[in-house]
Amino acid sequence: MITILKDRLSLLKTNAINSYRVQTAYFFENWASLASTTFYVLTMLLFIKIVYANVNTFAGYKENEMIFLILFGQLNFYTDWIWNSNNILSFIESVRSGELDLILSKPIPSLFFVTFRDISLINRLKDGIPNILLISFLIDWKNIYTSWDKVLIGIFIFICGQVSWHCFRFLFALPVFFIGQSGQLFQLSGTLAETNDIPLEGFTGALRTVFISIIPSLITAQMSVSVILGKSNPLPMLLIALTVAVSFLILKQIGWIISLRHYSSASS
Amino acid sequence: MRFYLDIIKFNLLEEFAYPLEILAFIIRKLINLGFLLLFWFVISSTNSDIFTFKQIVSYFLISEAVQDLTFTTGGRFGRDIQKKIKGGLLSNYLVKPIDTLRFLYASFVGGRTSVAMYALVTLVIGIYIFPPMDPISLLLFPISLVLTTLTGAGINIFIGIIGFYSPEAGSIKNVYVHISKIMSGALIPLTYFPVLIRNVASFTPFPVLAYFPVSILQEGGLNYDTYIKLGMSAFWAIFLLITSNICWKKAIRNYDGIGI
Repeated sequence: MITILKDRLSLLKTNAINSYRVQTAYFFENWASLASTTFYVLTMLLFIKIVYANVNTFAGYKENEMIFLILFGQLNFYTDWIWNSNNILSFIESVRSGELDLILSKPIPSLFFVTFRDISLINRLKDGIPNILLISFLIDWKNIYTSWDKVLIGIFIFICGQVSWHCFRFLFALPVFFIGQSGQLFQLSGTLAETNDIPLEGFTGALRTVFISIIPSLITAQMSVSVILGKSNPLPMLLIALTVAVSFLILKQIGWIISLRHYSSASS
Repeated sequence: MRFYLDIIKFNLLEEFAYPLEILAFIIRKLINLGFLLLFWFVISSTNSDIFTFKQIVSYFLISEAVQDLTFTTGGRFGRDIQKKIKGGLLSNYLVKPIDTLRFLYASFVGGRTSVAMYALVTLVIGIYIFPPMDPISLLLFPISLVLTTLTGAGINIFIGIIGFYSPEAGSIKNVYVHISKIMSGALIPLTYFPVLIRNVASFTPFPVLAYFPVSILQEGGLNYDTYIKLGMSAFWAIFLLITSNICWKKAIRNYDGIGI
């Protein structure tokens, strides 16, 4: 067990170092990328300012709470960008090009490798930290009423949300084994995450159920924030997030096994 | 002219060769629109005295349609030019006896015809949900659409030109997209902006890309406000097209044809 863990950590370290070398190769693009993400955050904050210039609350959220939700939305975005989307895109390309043969022939856990192949830590931190700090600076922390247990449960729900969302999007990539392409399907799955601006309380009835259990896009940011701000009961939410994460992990594993059986190498 | 129409037709046929791509695109657009409408539904349900859901739905349907019908969405034409410069593909067009910019634009328009067809549907639905206050606006709206198309083309040429000076210009295009999304009124109508921000936005070409055409259609008539909007649209269209063409001619001297 310890040997397996050591091997996997070593694999993660190697991937992270390799990603760092690739990311630091393009100087101008690196800084332009920071400008782009900063302008995105600024326009989002401006949008919130404009909305709250006309209304007092939005789905029960005051302006300060809404900025707090944006903070979590951004944390979600950067965490996803560090390890999730880029790896699934590389995975689709590796199946199409036949490069997956090489991965499968190596004595490494292949699913683990394709999941964590590219850890874009440096670039994402460079883009993310200034924006996260900017949003944090704008939050009136004195008026965020929470407690440590809610924060801890919120962080755990955030992690469950990341896992669920990764597995959900990974499932959308698997058709590449059967039809030779899944780029559009993968992009389509990404569009389903455009829920970040709407609090959990804005989703009611069946819509909320769908966007938590079938399309798990509300867990990471909205559910965590709802729990941290005391708008939802923490324990039932934690149980739901955990159940969804475990279910999606099982689905990912099953999907991977079935897909590998249908894999006909593009390079052979 | 006939030559450029043929280019549009050729690219249109090429696009229709991949029907699944079109279907995926339409589904993505519908999902995006659905979330935007949900956002405004949640707001208007608790603030119905400020936001009328029917009017706001109509606004976004027409606004989306305007951006797609005028090919201004997301700075895509500019990005296409940047890609061609970066990959050295622009050389293929420069060596031919054609007007490069017109050729590129015709190709782009042809490849976006299915988007325009989708936009026509959303436009009709938008008008049906909240009909124009004055029927004369139905005549003024096409004029504003033409001016928006020209303004959008000018801005996109400028975005493309950045590619001559920096091959990694994609992120700069994204900066434009983020600013334009809010300042054009594509995310929230300019009417709801605080006065200061609204005044700043009014002096930029961004409202021409969404807010002006939609407000001309929804509330326009033969009045001072409409004349100002049309006048400013005409100014930006002429100014941006002339300056972008001049800049293009200067910038093209920097082209080193990577990939030849």
